[in-house]
Order: sequence, then C-alpha cells, then structure tokens
Amino acid sequence: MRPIRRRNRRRGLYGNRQSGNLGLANGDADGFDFPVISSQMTELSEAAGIVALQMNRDNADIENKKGAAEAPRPSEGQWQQVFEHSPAMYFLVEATSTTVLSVNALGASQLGYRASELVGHSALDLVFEEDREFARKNIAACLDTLGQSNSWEVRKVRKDGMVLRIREYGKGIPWSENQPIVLIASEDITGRDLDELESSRLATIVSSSDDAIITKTLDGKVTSWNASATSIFGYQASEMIGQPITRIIPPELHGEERQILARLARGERLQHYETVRIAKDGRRVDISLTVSPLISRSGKVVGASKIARDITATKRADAELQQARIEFARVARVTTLGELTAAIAHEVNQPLTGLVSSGNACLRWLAGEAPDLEAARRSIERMIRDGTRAGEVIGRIRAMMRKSKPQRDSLNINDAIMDVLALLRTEIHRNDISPYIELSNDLSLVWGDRVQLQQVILNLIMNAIEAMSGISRTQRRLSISSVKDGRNGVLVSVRDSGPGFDETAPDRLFEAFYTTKENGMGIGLAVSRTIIQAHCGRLWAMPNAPQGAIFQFTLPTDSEHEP
Amino acid sequence: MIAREEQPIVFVIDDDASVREGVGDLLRSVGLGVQSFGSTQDFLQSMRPNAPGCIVLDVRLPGPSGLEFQRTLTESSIQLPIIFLSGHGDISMSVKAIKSGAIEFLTKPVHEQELLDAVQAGIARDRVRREQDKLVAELRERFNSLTSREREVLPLVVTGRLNKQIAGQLELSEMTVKVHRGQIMRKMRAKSLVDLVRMADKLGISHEKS
Repeated sequence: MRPIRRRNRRRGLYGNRQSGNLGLANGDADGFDFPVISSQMTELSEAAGIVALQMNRDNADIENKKGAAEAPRPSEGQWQQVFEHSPAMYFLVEATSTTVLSVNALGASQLGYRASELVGHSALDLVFEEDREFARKNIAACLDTLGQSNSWEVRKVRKDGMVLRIREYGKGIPWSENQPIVLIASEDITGRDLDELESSRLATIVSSSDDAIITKTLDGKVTSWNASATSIFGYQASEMIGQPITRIIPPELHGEERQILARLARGERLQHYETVRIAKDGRRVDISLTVSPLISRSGKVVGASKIARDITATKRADAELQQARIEFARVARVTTLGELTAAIAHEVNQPLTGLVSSGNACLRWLAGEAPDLEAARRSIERMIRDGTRAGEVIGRIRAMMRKSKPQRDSLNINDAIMDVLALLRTEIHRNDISPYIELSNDLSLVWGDRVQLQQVILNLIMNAIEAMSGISRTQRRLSISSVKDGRNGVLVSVRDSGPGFDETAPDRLFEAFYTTKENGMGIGLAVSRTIIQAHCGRLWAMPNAPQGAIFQFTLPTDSEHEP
Repeated sequence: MIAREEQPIVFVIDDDASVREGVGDLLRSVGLGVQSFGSTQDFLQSMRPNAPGCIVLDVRLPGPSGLEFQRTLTESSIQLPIIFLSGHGDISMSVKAIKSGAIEFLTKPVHEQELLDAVQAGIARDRVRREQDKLVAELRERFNSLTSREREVLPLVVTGRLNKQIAGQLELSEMTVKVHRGQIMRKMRAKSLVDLVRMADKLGISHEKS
C-alpha cells in the first residue's frame, strides 16, 4: 500500500489527468522504498530486489562511506550487471547539468529509445515540458540531501509522443572528485492510480452494500463475508470464514449447492436465482442469488463470489400484490358478468322453458286411457338434453365467478374462446351480430389460467359488442380469430366495426378507470392487460379497416413456459 | 260446435330449439295443431292454413323486435292474436305489447296452465274475429246488391229519418222512398230497423258519410 502524499501538489502539473487524485511525494526520508511499491516488480526480478534491499538496508552505510567500504561488496562489474539487467529504469544523471551519464537498457526502451540516444543529453529533455522545472528542482534537491532518497512524480514523453506518468526515486551520490551525481530509479505508474481507485471503490462497495457478498472456494468453504452477510444471515465473518457455506443452506437444498458448484467449475454464471437460506436464528430467508466464478490470473476457476439479496419483504409484497390482483380481476369478472345478467338469465331460461314444457307435455302424453308412450319418450329425451344444457351454462358461470387461486394448465385457447362464445350467445344474438369465427386448427397448447384467459376474451368481445351498439344493425361486424404467432405462440384477435378509438393514445385504453361507456368502470382492459402480461404475453389495440378496432393478444405456448 | 277442418293452429316462433320443441310438444299434447318457426321471416314466408289460431312469440328475437313484428302483422292484415314469451319480466315492454293487442305476456319458463289458457283465449279471440269477418263479408255482399239509389237511402234510414224527410232531401216522392226502404230491408235481410242499424254499424255506414 503506497501512501499517496499530497505535499507539494502543484496546480496544473497533471492538468490533463485527474489532478485531484494525484499526489506528489518529495523528500521522503525513508530511503528507497521501491521494493514494496510494486509487487509486480518484485515478482519479476530478483535482481532488482537485491539491489533495492541492499540500498535500503545499507542506507546508513552509504552515508558513512568508510564503514561501508570495509564490508564485503559486489564488484563494480557486478553492479554494472545488476544495473543493466534490472527491469526498473535507472538513470545516472549529472546533478547540475542534468546530463545523462548512463541509462540501463530498460530505462531507455520504456521511453522508446536506445541508451545511446539518451547518454549525453539532458535528462530533462525526456520530461514533459511543463514538468521540467519541477523535475530540475527535485534533482537539484538530491544534492542537498546526499545519500537520502527523494521521490517525485513527473510526466515523461515517450519517443512516440505518448505521455507517461513516472515516479522517480532520486538519490544524490558523491562521485569522483566530490562531483555528485544523482541515481534515479523510475517506475512507470501510468494508470496505476486508477486501478488503485478501482480497488478501493470496490472495497467500499463490498463493505457498504446492502447485499450479502460472499466468496467461497470451489469446495464450498467461505473465504470472505461482508457486513450485510452478517446482518442478513446473523453469522459474524469470524464464524463463517473457513466454514462450509452449507451452514446457511437448508438441508433439502444441499443438492442445489452441488449443482451450483458444478456449474461454476465450468465457468458458468448464475443470475438472480431465487432460493432460500437459513439464518443463524433458524429463520428462513428468501434470497435472490447471483453467483460468478472467481478466476485466477492463469484462467482457472478457483472459487465463487456470491451476491445474495434478501427478498423476503419483496416476496411478501409480491404475494400481497398478486393476491390483490387476483381479487381485482375477480371483481372485474363478476362486474362484467353482472352486466351480462339479463343475457345469462336468458341463456339458462331457454333450456328451462323447453324442459318444463316438455315435462308438462310428457305428463299429458301419459295421461288418459291410451297413453302415447312414444311421444312421452321423445319428451323425456328433450328434457334430458335441455337439463344438461342448463347445467352447462351454470357451470360456465360458476367457473367464471369462483374465488380460487389461479391455476395454470395446458389448455387449447380455442376451447376457451368457444366457451366464452357459448356464454355470450344470447348477447351476441340479441345485438343482431353474426360473429365470424376463424380458429386455427394447428395451434400449440398454451400454459395459463383458463378462467383468467376467458375473462380477457369475454372482456374483448363484450367491448366489441358494446362498441357497435350505436351503429346500424346491418353494419355490425364481429370477428374472432386465433392464429399461430411466430414459431410457437398464439395470436387471438377480436375485431369490430364500431367507431374505433382515439388513435393518438391507444395505450390510454388500458389505463384503469379510463372508460368511454356511461356505465363502465373502466377496469376491463386494464385487468385484461395485467392478466395477459402475467402470462408473458402482450395485449394491444389497433384500428380496424375500414372502421372499428382490433384488440389482439399473444401468448407463448406451453413448451416455452415450462419451468 | 267447431267443424273438424277448423282445427286451430298455434304458430310457435322462437330461435331457440329447446323452447320451440318444448312448447310445441306441450301444445300438441292438448290436441292443438302446431307449426314452428325459427324466425319471424320464416313465418311470414310460410303458407298458413285457413284456420283459427294464434302466435306464441319470443319477444327478444334477433332481427325486428317482437313489437315491430306485431306492427308488421297489422300492416299485412294478418290478425292472429299474439302471446309473447319473455326471458325476464320487462314491464314497459309487456305494457306496450298488451296495448298493441297482445293476448298475454308470459315470462319464461312459462307456467303450463297460463300458456294453455292464453293460447285458448287467443284461439277464441281469433275465432270470434273470424266469425265477425265472415259476417261483415256477408253483409258487404248484401250491401253490394243494393242499387245506387238504395245505397243513398240506406244511411238516411238508419239515422232515423222519416220517409217524408228522406223524400224531401232526395227530391223523391214519399211512395218511392217507401219502396226503396222495403227493398233495402229485404236485400239486407234485416228483420227490423234496429237490425238494419246494427248491420250498417258493422259496415261502417253513417249518414255523415253521404
């Protein structure tokens, strides 16, 4: 962790960068500290480390040249080797003129030059123009503090024109005839502060996140545990790190964890997977889980990061919302059916009239001295037929009124349409409409709630009938069709020849309590759209030609929907 | 009483097969003739036997409403009495129907006795109408056998004018008027002046007209 020092900050020095985040270090008394600056450097080169450590530890010796000379030391040739092969950039600069006396190959090549191109020229030539004076002062300052390490940052211009950020560690060294030179070790830190910022930001995010963020090894041992993990699951980090993650997984879901780990090992990611975990106090917590593999530099999956969001409250709210929707839909359905009472009463009354009349007739055929058994039998057959028919009507109404949880099944949308048409037969007839019905035979089954889908169809057909009540009987056209939509979907259309709707705002139609009818509540289409959307479908309106409206909805088919 | 060829016929008009067949069956079981139709158009296009009868009609048929159909019948001088069946008690509609001459307005499912009573009443009314139509037709025939002078005299006679007054008005001798009056009584087969007045009434003859 390199401290970012803000001493000697200069305005405009790094004007083309995020100057607020950049610090300049100058005059560090700690000696050369570059071995700990960059782990990359230490990893890359043993040699540099040796040099650096040597310089570091023997700081005092350098100040006291005599003592240092007595200790066994590498020869000058050896130093030369180290100097040449070091992956850090080294410059030997004449302190006053700043002329480059020597530069190692890396030092030159990192700036795009060969060493021979730099030796003999001023080291300041490499420095970005605006920073030259600053660099000169820092080099000069090394003379005042001979043997001590100074550090500063400058911008240097690579041969190809690219500007690099360079941290320099300079040290004034007495050279021959007391003519001091400055040894400058340079490190390219271009972009480094961004990485650093990034990691500190990530650390902040992890610690302040409301989501539990946990890492674990591939065999399921917890390796990190943030504060929210503690507040959601109740375990402290110290209780969990090193422990199997299965501690918070309900026993019946241990299999699930094995599957997740297997998927991770293949490098797959798991997103927003809803599941349940157990907190320390035994409480079950609904969570939404995102699991990503942790991949090492060498590309191996070494563990997993888990982000778990507590969705217990959301789930409860969802369930309550769902319940409210169901109830709303039922009220809307009952309201619609209420509007249909007359038609439905008629629909039941017709078979009952037939039934009662046939019953009376039957009694008469059987009465008298010579009962007409054949006629009586025909009467009874009709009675059975009519009774069955009345029962079917009532069954349909009861199904539409029932207050039960939505039940999803595989169903043929055409059956649902025909059921609704049977219920609306009288209403359609009474309005002098001969519906044109075209139902495709090769539709796949859809996955849905029959009653709810019937409610939508009922609403759309009722709307069409009502829309046409104001136009002449001979101009009323109602058509209901079902066709394949795309590869597997189903498209149901209800067309009328009524006055149509305001085409500038077709979506207003679907707003709750928007109505153009005197007695309408304006919830039919709003509820219908909610129902269709809950079935992963779409419901929309468009103008019909030459006049009227088309209401259409799509539904995905069963196979696309199976969990 | 009624000749066998005059067996009454009930015309059942309902678009619903259950109702049509059930009601038809019931009416047949009491010995009535029944003809069923799915729509008023079918009924209007059919050949109807010359027999007393009535219509049992669903008030909420598609197409022209039951009440409109009632008007159409009047305009086509089909005078069969109508018994309306209604899905539910629609009071304003039933009042209109009865005012327009419907026999009865029954609510489905119909009570057997109510229907049979209404049908019998309808048939009875139709029979009376037919009798009257027959009578009027006969009277019209007798009236047509009168000379033009006799037709002039008749309205004056039935409004109670004396021969002398009639003679003055028509500038005839009192004797001639007396002869005309005798011819009129004979040709019209009137037994008395009162009888003749009643016949003139049925024919819609009044003195103001002439």
